[in-house]
Amino acid sequence: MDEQELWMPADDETIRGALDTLRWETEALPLAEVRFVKARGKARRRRAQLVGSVSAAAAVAAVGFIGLQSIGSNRAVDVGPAAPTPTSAATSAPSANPTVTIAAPGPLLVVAEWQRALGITGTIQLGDMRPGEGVFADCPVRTPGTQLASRSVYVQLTGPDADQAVYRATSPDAGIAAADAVVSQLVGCQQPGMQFKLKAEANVAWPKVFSTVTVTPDGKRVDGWYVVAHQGALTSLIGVFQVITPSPPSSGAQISVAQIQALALVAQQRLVQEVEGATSPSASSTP
Amino acid sequence: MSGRRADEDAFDEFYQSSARRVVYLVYASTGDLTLAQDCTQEAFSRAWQQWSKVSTYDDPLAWVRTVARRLAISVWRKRTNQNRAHIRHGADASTPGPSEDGVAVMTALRSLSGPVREAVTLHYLADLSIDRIAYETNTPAGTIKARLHRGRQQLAQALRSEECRHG
Repeated sequence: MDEQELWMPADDETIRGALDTLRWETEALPLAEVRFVKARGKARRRRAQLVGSVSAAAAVAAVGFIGLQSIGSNRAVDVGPAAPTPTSAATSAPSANPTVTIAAPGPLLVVAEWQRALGITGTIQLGDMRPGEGVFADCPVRTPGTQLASRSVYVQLTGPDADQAVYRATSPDAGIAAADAVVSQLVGCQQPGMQFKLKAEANVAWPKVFSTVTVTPDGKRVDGWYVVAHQGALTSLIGVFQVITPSPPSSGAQISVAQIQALALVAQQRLVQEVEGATSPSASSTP
Repeated sequence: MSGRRADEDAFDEFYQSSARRVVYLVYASTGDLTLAQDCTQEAFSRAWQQWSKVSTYDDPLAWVRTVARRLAISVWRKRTNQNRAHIRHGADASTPGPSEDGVAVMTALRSLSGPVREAVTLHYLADLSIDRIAYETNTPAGTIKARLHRGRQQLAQALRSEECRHG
């Protein structure tokens, strides 16, 4: 028997009318902010895009290997995986000092530096950052120049989620203006419709550090940290986010100001190295 | 860079225009609003994760809808089992109750079996044709037709009972 014989359009209307009550209820609800939806997808993409996970020990070893390759065989003897670079800050500091850079080239922090600064014992994964997503997801800022390098960092289990990008302006003057503009935009950051607090933790000299607390409409609390390091024409931006769960994390504690400041110092030193390396005669002759 | 910006804008627009419909569908399927919101957010985050691919589909919303429903069904089954266990141990089986009308409709929907409720919600809430439901649920069209037929009758009857009960 055909269902049309048993079913009248008026019956359809009765059901549609009843189901509409559910529609009204859902339409009255606030929709989650799209940036949180993206952030959720982004964290998963990191997990998916990386081929295997890099354990802490393996990551340190890999950093050491890269460091050895870049430095050359004549310097290889004393340079271990976690050895500090031969900078003035490194001369008296032990290798475990979280504010000292590790022997690896480039303006971006390496795995071991993230681990040491944030006291991370879990697995760290690195991935490419989508430029469109921005380093400061919650407080978008104008990029301070051309992007040189970027990286996303995802920490399994403990949960912090970070991005770093380094930009080069056309000149040191343009660089300082661009970095100052980033700081101004951060200070003025607002999150309409959400509980949002931004605090300047260090806003006098470079690197500058800001912290944020955001409570989403559905009650989730996200702690954020923004770092702006600057040297010459270079500006380094770091955003770190941690979703705060009601129960304490099973491994890895809540990130502290001191840890972010350590991270910021390393980022600053990396810029100094990058600028000094670019202006030294030996570096400029290197292909 | 402009391509990426366009991607961002397209996803934002897609989310803003369709997320509530997915919440609505999953809510009607499970009766759990929090679960519906969470599964919807998760499904859209997965879409964003692979947006370069999902955005090329004829109907990206169908993809999101399917992911959200599957997530919800999976969680719902686990929760239902947990709730049964809690009830067995004397806990109160309370679920968030919205409006009185909403509760009545939800009660009526819950009187349907899972597959029947799925067919009804997809047809009435997502406005899908029988063929489309058959495609999305990987079920023969004849089966969907029968479920829809049964679901309509049961739902109408359940709604009438709810009306009588509440005067």
